[in-house]
Formats: sequence, C-alpha cells, structure tokens
Amino acid sequence: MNRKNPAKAKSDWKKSWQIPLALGCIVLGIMVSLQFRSQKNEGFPLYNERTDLLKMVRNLEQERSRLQDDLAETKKLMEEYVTASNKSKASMEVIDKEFNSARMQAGLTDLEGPGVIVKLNDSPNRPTGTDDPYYFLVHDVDIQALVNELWSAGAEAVSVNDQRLVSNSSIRCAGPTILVNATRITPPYEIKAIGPSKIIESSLRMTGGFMDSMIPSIQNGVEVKIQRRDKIVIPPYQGSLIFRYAQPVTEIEEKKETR
Amino acid sequence: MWLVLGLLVGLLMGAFLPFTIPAAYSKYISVAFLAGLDSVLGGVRAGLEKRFDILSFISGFIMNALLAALLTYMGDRLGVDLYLAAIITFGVRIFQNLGFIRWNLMEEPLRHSVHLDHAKPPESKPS
Repeated sequence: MNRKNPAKAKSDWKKSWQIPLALGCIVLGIMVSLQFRSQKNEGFPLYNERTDLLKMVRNLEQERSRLQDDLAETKKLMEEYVTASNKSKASMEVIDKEFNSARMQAGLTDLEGPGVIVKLNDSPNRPTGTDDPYYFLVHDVDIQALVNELWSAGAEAVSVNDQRLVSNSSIRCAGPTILVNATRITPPYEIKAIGPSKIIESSLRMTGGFMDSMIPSIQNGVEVKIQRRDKIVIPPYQGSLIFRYAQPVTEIEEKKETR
Repeated sequence: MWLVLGLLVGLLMGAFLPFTIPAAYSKYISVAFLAGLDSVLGGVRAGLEKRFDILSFISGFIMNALLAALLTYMGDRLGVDLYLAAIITFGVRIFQNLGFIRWNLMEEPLRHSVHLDHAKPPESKPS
C-alpha cells in the first residue's frame, strides 16, 4: 500500500499489518499459479484420446481396403486356375459342380431369388424433454434381432447394406455407426433376404415379433419398411474366410481323442 | 508494496512447485482462493482503519477456508452445489471490503487536511 502518510507514527502499525497480509498473498499466489498450471497440463484428455482413436480407425480402414484389393486379385487368380484345369480335363466337371455349390454355401457368389427387403432409418425427430433418446435411432441389437428372425424364417442369404452375412459375420455398435463384417455402415439400413418371402414377412409381423419390438421406436419416427420382391440380388462376401486356429478333424485324430 | 511482493513470490513459488492439482479439486481451489482473498482484503481494510489484529486475521483466514472446504465437500457428497453459498458470500464481502478500502484511501488525505483525524468511517456500505 503506497499511501502518502504525513504522520510518522503511522509507519509503525503499517508494518505490523502488512507483513502477515503479504504472507496471505503468498498463499493466494501459490493457489492461483498452481491451479493455472494444473489447468494447462490437463488440457482435454478425452479429446486427445478421441483423436488418437479416430486416427487409428482411419489407418485400419485404409489397410483393410488395401487387403481387400489383394484378396480380389488372389481370387481372380484362383478362378483362372480353376478354369484352366476345367478346360484340360472334362472329368473335373463333377468336382467343379461341388466346388461351385460350396462357394455358394460359403457366400462367395452373387445370389438372386425372391425375398424381402427391410428398410430401417433413424428418426428425423429429435428427443425432447423426457423422451428416451434410445428410441430415436436404429441400434445394432435391432439389426441383430431382425437378421436372427430372417434366418429362422428360412432366409437363405442375408445382406445388410450389401454386406453379405456369412458364418463368421458380426453386427455390432461402434459409436454412432454400426459395424457389419468389420465394415462401417450408416443409416438408412437396407437388409435384404432371399427366401420364402411370405413366410418371412409374416414372421416379422408376428405378435411379439420384430415389428412389435420396434413399436416404441416407430412411434418416435424411426422408419421400418418391409417389402416383398420377386427378385433380389445379394452380393458376395468381400472379406476373407481364412481359418487360422480351426482345423478340420480327421477320423484318426478323432478316435485318438476319444480314447 | 508488501502485498504485491507477496503475491508475486506466491505466483513464482506456485509455478515451480513439483506437483499439480487434479481437476476434481478445482472447486476447492476456487472456494479456498475466494476465502483467502476475502481475508486479505478484510485485513487491508482493518489495517487502513487501524484496527488490524493479527490473531483475528490468521484465525479468519484459516476458519473461512476450512468452512468453505467443508461446505464444498458436503455439497459434493449430497449432490447439491453448496459451494455456491461460499462463493456468493465471499464474492459479496470481497466487493464490500474493496469498497471500504477505496473509501479509506480516498478519504484519508481529505480527513487530514480538514483535521478530522478522530472521525470514524461510516458503518454503512459506501456507494
């Protein structure tokens, strides 16, 4: 306190109150700069982590598309070998037939036939007040339930946004998007199924079935459309079907194990 | 003079201390800081009014900070923002004290010039 004070006697009490107050100020200063440093150090840890994850996802996606190209090339090569061997030996016809049917069962060929197309889309409305935001979006579990219902109703081939479902396909949630066969898909979702279209449709509309379970979402504006078609084309599986751990069991080995 | 010096020393000390405060405790720091600022400004005012008492300053400094911290803790536990009570109280008192300090600093030379040394500052809040 730089105060003009003409009286000399005043300087005595002045010292006695300024020193303790200065100590108090030291404490204040420590608090301020500590807090300032803490704030600076911490930053936004969540945000940083998020950008890291995003980068990782992008890298992995790039790698995946590269591997997909590799795979397509290899497949082409394989087909060339097969046709070459077919040409050379007519007796290969039986094997070729078997091979083709195995490929069809594995989901590696385009398939067409009658079936059902189900369209799902997030609600255009926004949740207000006490609305549960869960029922404004299409979730991975909805698609899982739908696909399950399709298989059990006799569907022979199913695809979700042109991602063919095969023996090791998965449908799961990844933040705002859904992963099918480890590929990100976004709404609107189009699930195609080849099979007995009438049976499939009625089983979806069964009481307590898929459509009933979607009622709360449909009331909030989520779109669910079921269409029967005479001809649906379902694309083949794009990923790899390599077994790294599983091996076929030969009969001899089986006997050994049971002993 | 001493006050500014103390503040600078404190800032420097804080800048070189080897630890930082977790974000969860920033509420406590804000309340403790306001309590400290209130005590210091109250002390300045008392000093200017020539009735500074070191015991009441230190006890006020510690008690205010403790009570504020207790309120904040209880608020955290109860899920009610009780620390707002401390912030508002200290905030109001800081401005009140600042008003008294300003008034004292401006009036003092005037008082000497008109020989009103025995005059006491008014009890009410100066405008």
